[in-house]
Amino acid sequence: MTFGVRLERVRAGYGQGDVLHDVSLDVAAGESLALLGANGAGKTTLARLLIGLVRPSAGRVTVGDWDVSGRRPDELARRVGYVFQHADHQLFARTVRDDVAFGPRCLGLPGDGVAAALEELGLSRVAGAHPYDLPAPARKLVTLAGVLAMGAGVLVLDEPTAGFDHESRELVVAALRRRIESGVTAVVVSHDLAFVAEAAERIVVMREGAIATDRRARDMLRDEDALHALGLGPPPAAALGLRLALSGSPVRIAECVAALRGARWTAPAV
Amino acid sequence: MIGYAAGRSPLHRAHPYTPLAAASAVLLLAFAVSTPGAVGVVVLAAVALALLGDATGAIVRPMLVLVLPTWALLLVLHGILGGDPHLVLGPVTLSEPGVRRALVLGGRVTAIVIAFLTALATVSPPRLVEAMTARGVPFGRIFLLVSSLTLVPRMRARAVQILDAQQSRGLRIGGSAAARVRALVPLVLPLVLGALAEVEEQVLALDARGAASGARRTALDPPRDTLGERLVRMALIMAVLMAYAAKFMGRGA
Repeated sequence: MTFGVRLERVRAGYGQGDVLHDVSLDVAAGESLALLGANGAGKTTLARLLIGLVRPSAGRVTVGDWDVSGRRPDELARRVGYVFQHADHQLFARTVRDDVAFGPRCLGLPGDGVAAALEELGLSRVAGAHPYDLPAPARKLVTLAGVLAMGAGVLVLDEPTAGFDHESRELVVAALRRRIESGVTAVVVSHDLAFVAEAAERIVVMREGAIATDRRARDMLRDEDALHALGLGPPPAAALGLRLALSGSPVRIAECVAALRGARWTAPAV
Repeated sequence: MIGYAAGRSPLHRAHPYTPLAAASAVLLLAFAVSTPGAVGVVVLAAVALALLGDATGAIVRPMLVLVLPTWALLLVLHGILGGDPHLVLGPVTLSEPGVRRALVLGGRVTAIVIAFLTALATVSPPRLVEAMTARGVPFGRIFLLVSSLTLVPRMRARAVQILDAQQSRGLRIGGSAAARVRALVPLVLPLVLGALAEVEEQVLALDARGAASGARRTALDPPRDTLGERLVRMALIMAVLMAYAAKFMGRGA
């Protein structure tokens, strides 16, 4: 099952005033959206609305035909998988496998997604290890596997690749792309634009609790001025494409490689 | 909330040793006196301290959570199970010496809890670190004390995050008593394991930055300690000494 996400004139916060001010956003089923913005812009608050961890003080949030306001987070977990920024906030089981199986067990789901999620994120060989015996990036992969194993129709990922090496990031990108291709809706909060380039089709920039920009990822990631205004720069593939004026507006590594192969290029004389 | 609450009260602005000295004095005075009336005076002193620190709003809830069960337990234990003579209060018959004992013990607990919650709410941990550093206290002891002072708010914040994370994985918080007990494991274990992992990393990071070098540390911005405050602390020490002198000379209140 896949679900779209809709926010209608939502205000929300944490008790001392609203963090989000009249935010409206539609994410279609199967769409992948990245939320960018400075710290405190409201990205995480928006993401937490989708799993019911923050309640709107005004407006309406829906996931498919469910109004989030009337449901507990453990109910919403059937539709929304949320990966937290810090892995240590949830790991507790004695083995990686048991921890990944926790969510599916809570929801009464069959366990076949557990082995698949472990395999997908390269964790099968450490499935019997204690999560705290793994380095921090691997612990984060465990939390991601735990959410993938729940088979939710909407994935919300808060800084999923922070601290990751190239290999781990590739695993996450591949897993996310497979989900998106199968119709899963993805909302990613990230400062890692190389990851955003690989995983998102659309970018929403938040500023002071409101949506400042809503653009195609391809356009946004090649707009150096807009990115610099956020304190960011284009991801490597997009930067290379811009510098070399490659055709096809590449923003992903594979697109950049394809454009380079197709380009007529002569090495400068040494 | 247990922990520091920013403010501009006289206690917030005082040298960190002053509120701590006042709280310690309340503790010692509470045990120096042994009649309900005298303990009541110590409770009033603790309340005055809380008012001076503008901390009543921050401490009322944790104070009631800590103190009310104690009062209930003491009144049941001593009031019902205490000896003769008995007081008849409407439908309830209570032991008079038992009630007096409960009032003394409960009053002591109340005074101590109010005083230390006030100290926690008004002493900024970074200022306390600076004050202790300026006095040449070894870093290990400072770290131990400040870690303890900040433990509750840090653990509380972490517990909220863990609760959110596990609910997002489908854990239901609530339902039957058995379900609530089952839900404790995925909530408590990450709290403990995460804290242990954090402490390990923190200790390594401190070592790597020369925390164990033994050299006298530089106090960059030590809080001002005025003569007036030193005199107040001296007066508190004198009051405690006099109270204990009176107690041991058999003239205790």
